[in-house]
Amino acid sequence: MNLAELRGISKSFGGLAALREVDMAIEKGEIRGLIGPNGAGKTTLFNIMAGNYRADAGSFRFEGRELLDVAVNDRVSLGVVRTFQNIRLFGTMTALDNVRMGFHCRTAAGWLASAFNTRRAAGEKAWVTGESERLLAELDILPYRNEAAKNLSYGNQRRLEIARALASRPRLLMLDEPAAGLNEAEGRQLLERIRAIRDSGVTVLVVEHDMNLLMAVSDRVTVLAHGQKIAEGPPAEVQADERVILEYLGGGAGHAAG
Amino acid sequence: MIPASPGGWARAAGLALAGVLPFLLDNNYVFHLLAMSGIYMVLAMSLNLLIGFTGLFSLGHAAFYGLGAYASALLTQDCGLPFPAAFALSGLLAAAFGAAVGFPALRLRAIFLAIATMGLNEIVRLFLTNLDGLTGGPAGLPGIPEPDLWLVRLGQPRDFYVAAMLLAAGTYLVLANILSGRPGRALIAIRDDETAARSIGVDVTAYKVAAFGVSAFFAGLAGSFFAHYLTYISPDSFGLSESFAIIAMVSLGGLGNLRGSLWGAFLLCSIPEIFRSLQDFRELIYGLTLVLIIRVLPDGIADWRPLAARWRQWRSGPGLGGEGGGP
Ligand SMILES: Nc1ncnc2c1ncn2[C@@H]1O[C@H](COP(=O)(O)OP(=O)(O)OP(=O)(O)O)[C@@H](O)[C@H]1O
Ligand SMILES: [Mg+2]
Repeated sequence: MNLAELRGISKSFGGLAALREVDMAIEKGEIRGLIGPNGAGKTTLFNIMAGNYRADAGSFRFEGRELLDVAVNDRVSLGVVRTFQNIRLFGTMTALDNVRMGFHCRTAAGWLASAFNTRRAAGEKAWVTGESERLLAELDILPYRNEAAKNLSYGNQRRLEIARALASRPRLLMLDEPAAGLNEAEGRQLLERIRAIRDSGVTVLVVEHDMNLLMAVSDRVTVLAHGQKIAEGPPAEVQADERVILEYLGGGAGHAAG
Repeated sequence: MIPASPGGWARAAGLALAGVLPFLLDNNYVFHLLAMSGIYMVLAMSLNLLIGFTGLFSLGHAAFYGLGAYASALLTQDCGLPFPAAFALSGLLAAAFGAAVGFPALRLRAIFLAIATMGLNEIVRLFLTNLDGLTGGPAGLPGIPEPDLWLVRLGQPRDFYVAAMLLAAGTYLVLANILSGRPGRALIAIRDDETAARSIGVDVTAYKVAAFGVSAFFAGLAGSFFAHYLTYISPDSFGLSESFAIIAMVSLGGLGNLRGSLWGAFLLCSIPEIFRSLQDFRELIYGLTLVLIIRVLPDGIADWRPLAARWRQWRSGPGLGGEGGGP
């Protein structure tokens, strides 16, 4: 069964066509890799799926529901959650509070309940704190719980962003270059983590420049170039595809080593 | 509330002592000063919710303050409502006005929001000045009844001191609860990174509008209290200079520091009063405070680290201090 189905997604910025009629179907429970040279339109596709940008044309069905007209924050409650290529944490907040923010869409305490710290609001708060600590521990950053997010190391910031995204209990988790800036050991760890996330029932869409990592982790891979889909299939098939080889090896887009 | 730590007990004892001290002095002028401080504490904390915690530079807070004051005065004088009802209603009216204003204003970028809210402040003041029939025009509204709280009737400055402190304490507790809870965290998230906040499920517009409403609510309550304390109000009390005074208090205490707002309000209320000769320079003091704080202590008086760093840099002499860090 398809969890997400994109059809004919197009997007231009001024005269530049960043995406042209892109179709993509993501199966429930898979890890889908998304690759392409710089400027291929990967992040733009994320922005459209998450709702940060408006598509010029096309449709995005998620669990049978059209999402393109749904607000960003409402998509989160429906289970479409993303991380950012250039890490976007709440810098002044502690690591713990950043993860707590991930629970925003799963909790209900409003202004009045919070103002008087009603028993229900207090109970919810305690639950969120406990769950957040569990997530911090899961991503090995519990010791930094009271540090301001902006003071964490780069690798820990990446972990924290994933923890925050997981807190919202995504059904489709979209990771934009989660391994960027990580060393090899951290990269391997991330790979395991992505598998674990999938095994917990989350479908994952991951953009990555590190070919080895991406091919190792993905069930299927979609390749974008110049805003168009040029290949799709299991890693081995895609790696052997002529056009892909041309784009990556012949086209002079020499960043595949990440 | 039971203090949880020795530090908590010490603070509670200090607070109790500070609260009792004025009774030992038993001086009406001191009571008056502290009652006004209490009002400004509420104003500063409520403005801090917007500019310090949500990152919304609303520079016309006195508009909501004035609205609350006039609403309460008219509701008791013309409609014959008892004070408690007028008090609550003026808060709610200011909140509705704040949310209504907030909604279109939120489409504006930061600098335009600042200009628009200043404009709004002037518009409100002009309305209060020119709607003679309703507001008494430039001459203001005299004869506002003193608060009758069924059991107690506030009349002496001492009574108002106690009531103002209770109002400030209540406002502090409510805002502190909100800020440590789900809505407050969402506001801080919006301040830190609006796109990230939206992308983790925060309805940014709704929270901004609500923040405007809640902020205006407390400003309205402060206005009502002020009106019934002085028993006389005029448009002059609610102009832009008043808004700037509140901004100076918030900055002095630190943007995003709720307890700091209490200190900011207290200090900027007392200093011009204690040095009576400075009275005429009230606005100058507020302006200077604002400039100095922004230059020297951007996080307010609670955080001296920037000043200490400057001092070290100055001590280490020119050449060693470097260019003064860029990003
Ligand atoms: N907000 C924007 N305004 C104008 N042009 C944009 C905008 N966002 C993306 N683009 C352009 O669209 C094209 C696709 O960009 P996108 O960021 O989606 O590429 P990408 O595949 O994520 O690249 P990278 O691997 O470098 O992250 C690029 O040419 C980029 O300059
Ligand atoms: Mg990108």
